[in-house]
Amino acid sequence: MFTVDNVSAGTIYEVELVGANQTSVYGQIEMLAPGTEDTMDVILPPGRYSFTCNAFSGALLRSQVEQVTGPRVSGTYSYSPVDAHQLQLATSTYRANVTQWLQRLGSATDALESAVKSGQLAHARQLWLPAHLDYERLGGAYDAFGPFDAEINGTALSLQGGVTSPYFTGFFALEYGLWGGQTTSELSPTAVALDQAVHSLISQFPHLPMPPTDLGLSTYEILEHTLQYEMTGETDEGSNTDLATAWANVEGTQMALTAIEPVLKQSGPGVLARLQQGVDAMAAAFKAYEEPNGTWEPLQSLTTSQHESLDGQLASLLEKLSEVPELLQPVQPATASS
Amino acid sequence: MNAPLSRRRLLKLGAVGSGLAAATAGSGLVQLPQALASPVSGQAGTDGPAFADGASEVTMQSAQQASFEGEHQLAVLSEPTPYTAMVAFDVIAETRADLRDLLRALTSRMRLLYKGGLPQDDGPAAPADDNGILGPSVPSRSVAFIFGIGASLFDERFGLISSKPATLITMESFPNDNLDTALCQGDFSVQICANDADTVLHALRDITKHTRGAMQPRWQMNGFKSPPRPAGTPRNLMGFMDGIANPDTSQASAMQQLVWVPEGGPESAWMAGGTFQVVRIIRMFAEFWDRAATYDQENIIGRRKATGAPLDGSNEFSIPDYQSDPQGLITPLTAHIRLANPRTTASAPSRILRRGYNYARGLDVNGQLDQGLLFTCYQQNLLNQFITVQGRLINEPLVDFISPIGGGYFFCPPGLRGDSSAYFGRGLL
Repeated sequence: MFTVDNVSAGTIYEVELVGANQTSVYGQIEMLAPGTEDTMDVILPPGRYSFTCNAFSGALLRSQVEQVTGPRVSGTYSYSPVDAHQLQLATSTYRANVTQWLQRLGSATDALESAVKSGQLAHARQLWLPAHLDYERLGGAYDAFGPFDAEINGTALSLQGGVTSPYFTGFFALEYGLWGGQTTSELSPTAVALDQAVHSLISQFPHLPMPPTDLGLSTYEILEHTLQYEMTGETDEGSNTDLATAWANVEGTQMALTAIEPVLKQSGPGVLARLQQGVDAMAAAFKAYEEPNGTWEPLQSLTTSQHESLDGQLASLLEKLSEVPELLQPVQPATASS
Repeated sequence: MNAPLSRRRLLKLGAVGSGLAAATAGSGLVQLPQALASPVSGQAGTDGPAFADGASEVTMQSAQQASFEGEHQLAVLSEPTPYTAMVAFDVIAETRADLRDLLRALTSRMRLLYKGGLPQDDGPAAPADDNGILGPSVPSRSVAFIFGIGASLFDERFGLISSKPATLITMESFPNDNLDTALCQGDFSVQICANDADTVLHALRDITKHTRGAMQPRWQMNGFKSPPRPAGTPRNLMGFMDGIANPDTSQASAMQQLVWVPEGGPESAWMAGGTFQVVRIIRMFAEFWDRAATYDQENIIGRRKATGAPLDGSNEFSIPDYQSDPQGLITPLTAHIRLANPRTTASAPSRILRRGYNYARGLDVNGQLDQGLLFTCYQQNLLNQFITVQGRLINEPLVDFISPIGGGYFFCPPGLRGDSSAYFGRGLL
């Protein structure tokens, strides 16, 4: 165990213990404030190591190389930070995919809006699900959607007054009305507002920022949400399509994973294969609950063992996916100007 | 998805350009002139103050502190006990006279339970007065109470509309709350605190038995306080020390400024010496939290997980210096402790006295652990203190990992001021 002191007057450092190849990181303190100390607990195989101190302001300091001797040990761990530029490329790939899917979403909400406006309740119910799934599939980008997400896909859960709140809008408000006995003319304003919000999102998306590190987080955050809200049935407003939403969320995770594939191939090739396998199996597990006519089995009609199996598989996948953000830590830039 | 502003990694300066590391290394800068690394011997956790293997050292402070016979309900100030139950009741009595009888009975049971001793003997023909959970004689001074009155009592039922405390309101849903009405509000709150779980339940059963037909339990949340791990402020179920920056309860002036309702303020004279209680039942998504990297957790909270130190400090009681970190490079501007208490002159009057307990109540419908924080805090003004603090916390990155599901606001009347005929709420009736 090392105790690392930052005795500088005002410089914040990231401190790493790196191997002789200068890329394998064995120990890391991601932020060490001036005047503070922290510990770094590592098990090192025999070899040559040095400390690097990356000032947040950009300067990089490297210690002299030290030799560690002794017998081979088990339990050693290291990782290779990814290239920040590659991570940016992955984000661009992802954004391009999202942009394409947004077009499809726009057409879907156009159709949904016109079905509601023309009084076709049964047809509107049919169109609601594919449109909603088109949005749920984009879950990876939810942070990049800013306030649009609340407008398009906000739930009643946190609203004062719940489903009666005037701020209850978007897909879930429409679902509540379509399956809860409201007429198409009552629902018309909601359908129009939803379609408008989707088109505002389409036009604004190119200008909404998306930090490269978000992609790693979204690979598991999407499904955290699924486990907490879809698999408890909390968000359903009458269409009984939680399992369909969950499936779309897995597809969204696949989309994020595909975008970071080139980066992960570099830093964790074994991990990537395991994750892809896990995500594919999960998608299949949900998809098994789709009927041939395109409807989905309601969450409530699952047997206990079916429910437990889906919950457990999803939670186990999440344990694996939660490694991704750490694997996607970009290399610190050596110089930068503030 | 319905995510509010999500947690984001602290973005360090510069996003591109990684090729210069080697060049710098090759230029001869090879020592660590500022950040010095030095190996130390020993293992983690052996160099803190010695504590007897985590055994509970949290005991109720002096009996006097748990008493409500003086100026205040002093259990408000005492350290959280190992066990607690927060129980909300609704009054079902119908007349003002019945309400008076209820308040007398409630106060009388709290006095008897606090005093302890042999239970009243109603003779062999009647069921025992005491439930016997604590044996034939009730231990003296082993339980503490905090009694509060909710805004809902002040309706037309008892003619109390005009007596409603000026600043007492019904807790509303904050953004990101997910309130279950079955866990919210109540005409009364009764918090029972003790060193043992059976003592808490003994008191609860005694109180419900002796108030039956006049008030009905509405919701209950049990809590526990963790022992120091390994030392210092106890940890919550996120693994972080919780309650480090509380105002000092031994400073009477601080309590006068922050906790006790003053005379001559917006409230009626009978309320002076009381305090406003906030209860928030905050579910934590424990599995999700455990999947987040420690570094992310620390940026979300604003403290080191292991030591409780603020991110710019060396130990749990270091005072964070946010003025020297205006961009949030050390402590993110969205860190929980920074938003909750920005430590400015303007924010000082909004400080609150926190008295949180952990809770674990089994599983939710799909097998996720149902754990969290039974948050309570005390202040002399809800709007200027808790509600202001909570307003600063809206959409903080922590919200992804928590979900407030219940609670309420209550007014805790002053103590009984040495008057043996006094009862809680007498000033109202």
